[in-house]
Amino acid sequence: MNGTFFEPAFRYVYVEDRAAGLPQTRRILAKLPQAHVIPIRHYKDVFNRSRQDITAQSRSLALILADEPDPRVYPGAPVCQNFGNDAFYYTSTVMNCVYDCEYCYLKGMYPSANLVIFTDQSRTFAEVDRLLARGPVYLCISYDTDLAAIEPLTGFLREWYAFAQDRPGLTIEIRTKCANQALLSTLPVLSDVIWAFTLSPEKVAQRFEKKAPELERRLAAARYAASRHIPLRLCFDPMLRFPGWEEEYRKLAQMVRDELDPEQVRDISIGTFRISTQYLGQMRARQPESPLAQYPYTVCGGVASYGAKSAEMTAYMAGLLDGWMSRDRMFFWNEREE
Amino acid sequence: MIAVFTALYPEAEPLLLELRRRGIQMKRLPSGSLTAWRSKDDRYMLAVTGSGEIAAAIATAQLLTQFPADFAVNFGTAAGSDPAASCFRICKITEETTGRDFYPGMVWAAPFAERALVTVPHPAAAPAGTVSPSLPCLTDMEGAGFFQAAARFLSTDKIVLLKAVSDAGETAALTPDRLRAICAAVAAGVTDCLTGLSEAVDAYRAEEETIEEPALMAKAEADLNGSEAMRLRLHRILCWQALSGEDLRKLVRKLYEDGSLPAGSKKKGKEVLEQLERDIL
Repeated sequence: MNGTFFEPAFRYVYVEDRAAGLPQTRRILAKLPQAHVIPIRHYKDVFNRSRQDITAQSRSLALILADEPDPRVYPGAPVCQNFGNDAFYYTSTVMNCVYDCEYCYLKGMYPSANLVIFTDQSRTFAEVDRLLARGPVYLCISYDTDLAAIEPLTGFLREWYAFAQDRPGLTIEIRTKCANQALLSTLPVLSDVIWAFTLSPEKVAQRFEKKAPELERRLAAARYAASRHIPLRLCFDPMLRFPGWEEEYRKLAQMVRDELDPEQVRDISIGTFRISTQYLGQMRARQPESPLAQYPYTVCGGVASYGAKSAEMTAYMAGLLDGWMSRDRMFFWNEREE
Repeated sequence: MIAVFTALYPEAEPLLLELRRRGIQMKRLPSGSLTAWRSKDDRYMLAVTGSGEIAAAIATAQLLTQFPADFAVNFGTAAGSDPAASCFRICKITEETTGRDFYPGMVWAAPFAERALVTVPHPAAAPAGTVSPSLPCLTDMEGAGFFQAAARFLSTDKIVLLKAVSDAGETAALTPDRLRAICAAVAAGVTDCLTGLSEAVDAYRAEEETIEEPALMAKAEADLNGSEAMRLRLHRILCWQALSGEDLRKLVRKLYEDGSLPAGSKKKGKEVLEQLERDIL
């Protein structure tokens, strides 16, 4: 569809009254000189409006800058991989993602496609310090968004690096599909800050991850991260089931084996698509034409997944990587962990 | 269809003339409680609501109940300190009587600058001022009522408000001829915007992938002879197949050829469903 029907992304920036005076808000606005600022009382007045057209919004994202009095740190959800860490938390300082992946749970979780940025991270940092006083913390900071993709706008990763560098016991995962090597080149290397690249077969990336960098660029970024000795994780998660999936994942595994040195990869994560039934219901209503949303999933304990086929798929993927990486560095999500 | 609502006839007339000038014939609907016109190709509808929030809300709801629309557009005049006959798109509406704010979606491109709007219950004696230094305010008597009614029928991203500045609070000078002249001055730009929305609707529809053969699917689902849950599961399997680019006709034909369908009993239907899942999922 012709892009001229839509306003360009971030043409409109809604700014909460209490966030308007924050230096972080002003810093972000300074990077968007063309944006038109609309003052709002509370981010939910815009973000939580009923009957929003998420499909149309995803073609013309608006930005909402907000301030949240409560820290945005939460315990990890059962459908998320904890990589053997008990104190597993995630932060949500940004809601929604600039990449428009068709299978993303965010499409079922939020009533809007617009991006909310809680500009002041200090309360979140303070909460992480409180958690660290109790023991080591494993923290995913890029779950409900892709922080790397919007780093030029927010500068949040730099703030996290500054925070993490003198906090032993804190391990951070940055989950991303971003292929910005310039960003990787300017951030320090910290042994407990892991870059986790989500890799999908080319066919999946083209069809279902339309706004994300193509597979080749993601692999190149991962290779660059490895060359800088940045702790590197590869995520084959979510694996999707579609006609011919075995061949597509075989090709993906072969590319990874050809292009990356396993000694430079900390670990890998393998998991099949799963989503809460509540979010799936929303996704089906909002994306009636999506084969991923319409797949007849198996429901168990409030989670929709490929059921017994999940184990078959993860075993298949692990088999493709056997001999390249040892099983003790492979982490799996399967039905048993639910 | 793009449904356009104006408060007064002098605001609607220039749009009617502009649409006609562009070859779009607008036909008056049979007389009733609503003064409205519909284009022969069903692309546009124009209604006069009467002035005030309640009148605007009632007419908007009445028309959208009768005629489902793709977009609802409120066009009319408003008081403001901008030059007369300048036209703006509204990005924020405040209902003065309740203090509530409403936000029309700003997704679709429109060739107008933005203003906030305050809806008041009486003709404005003075412009409302500014929401912020970068966002001056206009004042009208319908916007909030129109928006609340339209939002019952449409996504807030498909509600658009366009306001032409008529005065700076000198309501005594507002005659029908004056309103007509102001709306005529902006009618071409507003009609361009309406045309753009209509083209966007066409493009949006053309882009949507649709599942072919709904009758074929319905027949297969009925012939499964199962429970509603089984029917729904078969429906999802067939949808997934069709949307994945597989040949649905071939798949369903095979089910009939090998005797799987029609299933003679619920038990047989369950077996067919399980076999299908084993084969293709």
